[in-house]
Amino acid sequence: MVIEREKDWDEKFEVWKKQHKRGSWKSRPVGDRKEIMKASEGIVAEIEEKAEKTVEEVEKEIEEVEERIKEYVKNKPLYVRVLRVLAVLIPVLLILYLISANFLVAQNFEYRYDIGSVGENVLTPVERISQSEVMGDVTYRNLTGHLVYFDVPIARGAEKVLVEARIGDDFPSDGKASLGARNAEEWNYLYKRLYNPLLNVGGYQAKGDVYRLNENLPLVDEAGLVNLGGITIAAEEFEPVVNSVNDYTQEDTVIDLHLRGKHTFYVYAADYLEVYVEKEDINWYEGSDELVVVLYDMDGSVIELTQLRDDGIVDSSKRMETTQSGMLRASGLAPGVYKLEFNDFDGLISKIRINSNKVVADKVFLADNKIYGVDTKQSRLYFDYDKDVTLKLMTYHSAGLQKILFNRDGEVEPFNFNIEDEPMYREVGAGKYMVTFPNNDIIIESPEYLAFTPNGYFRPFKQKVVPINSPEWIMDSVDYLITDYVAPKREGDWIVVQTEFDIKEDGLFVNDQGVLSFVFNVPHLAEEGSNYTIPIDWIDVKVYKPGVWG
Amino acid sequence: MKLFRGHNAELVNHLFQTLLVTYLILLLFEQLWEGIVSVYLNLNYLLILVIVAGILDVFSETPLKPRERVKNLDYWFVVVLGILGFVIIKFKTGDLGWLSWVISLIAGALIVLLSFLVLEERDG
Repeated sequence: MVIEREKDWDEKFEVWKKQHKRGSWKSRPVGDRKEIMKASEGIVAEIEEKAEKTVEEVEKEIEEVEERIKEYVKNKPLYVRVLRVLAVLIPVLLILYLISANFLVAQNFEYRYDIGSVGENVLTPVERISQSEVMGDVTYRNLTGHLVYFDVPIARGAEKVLVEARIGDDFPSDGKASLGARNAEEWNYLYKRLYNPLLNVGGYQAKGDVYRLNENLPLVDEAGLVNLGGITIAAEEFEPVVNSVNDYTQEDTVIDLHLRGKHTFYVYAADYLEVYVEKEDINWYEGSDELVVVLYDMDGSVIELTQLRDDGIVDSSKRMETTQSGMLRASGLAPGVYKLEFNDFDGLISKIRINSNKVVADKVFLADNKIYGVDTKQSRLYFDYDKDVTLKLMTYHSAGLQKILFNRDGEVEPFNFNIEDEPMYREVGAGKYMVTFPNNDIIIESPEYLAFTPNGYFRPFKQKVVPINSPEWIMDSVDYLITDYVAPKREGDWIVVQTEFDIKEDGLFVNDQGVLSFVFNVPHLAEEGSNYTIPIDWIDVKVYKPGVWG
Repeated sequence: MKLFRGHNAELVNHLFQTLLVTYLILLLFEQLWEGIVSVYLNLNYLLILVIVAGILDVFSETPLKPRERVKNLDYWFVVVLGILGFVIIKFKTGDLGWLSWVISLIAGALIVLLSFLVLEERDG
């Protein structure tokens, strides 16, 4: 039943579709159809006209609104305009200020770290610093380890950094403190003295970094020292001027003495130098004993070297069987001073012949004594000093005790050298000397020089330079001291120490974050069993950045 | 609640934009050359001003602005900013090697494409 009913509906639908789809419009009369078309066109045109009008009106309205907005924006009150300009001036002024601060104007930055105050943790590592402590109205911490670091911000283009610190004077008599500034990306620091009680420069006049220790000499700066001759300078770095020697000849100097250990000679030479050497191994200790002779120019460059081999005895039998010889030759030498170095070996230099009449050394170990298996015979050294000088004399054996004769311009004065294993000092005044050592086995050191022939003495350099940390007997004859060390200022139990770094000249390493690392180096705090601590109250860092306009 | 209306609102909006752009530029300089700003000026103070101005701007009437057509110059400006972004990111990530090129190229392209999208939207 249901299927028949559906068929009936389908048939009806098909009939209806045919009538409405194909037959309805076409089946109408032509006149009707034209009227309908005309009427439709009119309606469409009317609708289109209305739509166009609406769009035009909306556009017009938008334009009117925009015009009004423009008018509104244009006719801003004066105060709005002024304030807008002022707002724009904010970034302009800020950028101008930053340009000026970074590049144009010199700036000083000061950073003060009150070490004892609460929350101040600039020092690291913490295990090398004590807790905050109080002494009177001063809060401080103690440095308990020898390397304690702190960082300081460094402005771009900064040139100089002055570091001051207020520390307690709790140093042992030979205690020192220095401050290092990092000078490489890896762990490396450039150290400068903060405190050194041995460098007591407080009472001396200075010009720049040059302290005048001899008041009979003029007060000069480092450049002025170059023009002064016959002086002794204590410095870490100073290039002395070579002395011109008028009475130089290529006449042989024969050092017919036995010498023990390392020796350094200064030889004046021109064009050609020939050094003949003889050596004897004394074989006190096991091992081979080569003697290397090296000739350097004054820049420290090796010009020539020669080696004398071992005598073939490598045990400690004390047998002396052969004398070996060697020759060093150098040609094309510019007139000047050359350094001739003999290394330390288990033997004696038994003869040296140099084709120069000007040969000196500042330390000589005379060994003509039967203790070394050779005959004991007297030796002589010569010098000609312009000022008072202290000589250091030392022996390690009783065989070396003797009466030394100092002959100054014909006047003989004996010196009783009677202490073994400890240095003895002998002050000599200005003058020409011949010193006789009857027994030898003695080490003689001079802050000046010693010659081996009566006319062999000369001063290789206008300025004799000695290390700044030389012992007192050398420092006695020092005329000038070059150091950037500034004597500390005393404030009760505290001292204010300071040192300065030049970022460019010292090649300091400021990291990408603009930070420079410093380190306090107090060596005696690292010594085993050391109970010392160094109180530190504050650190003050001044950074100077130059500008285009000073 | 509108704290500022009319010209005052526009002023607040202008001040906020100026401070924000200033802060961002100085921050960029500080990132590129550390210490060039921070040694002389604490940027946090400027950030506080930016935040205050921003809050005031949020509670102000939206200022009326005339419609502006997108010009060719705007597209070129975007390209320049993209190149600048690429250079800065390359400079800051240089230690990464080849990855630095990838990151900076993608970042530069993103700056240009996203900005083009914004311009197209404004134009449409």
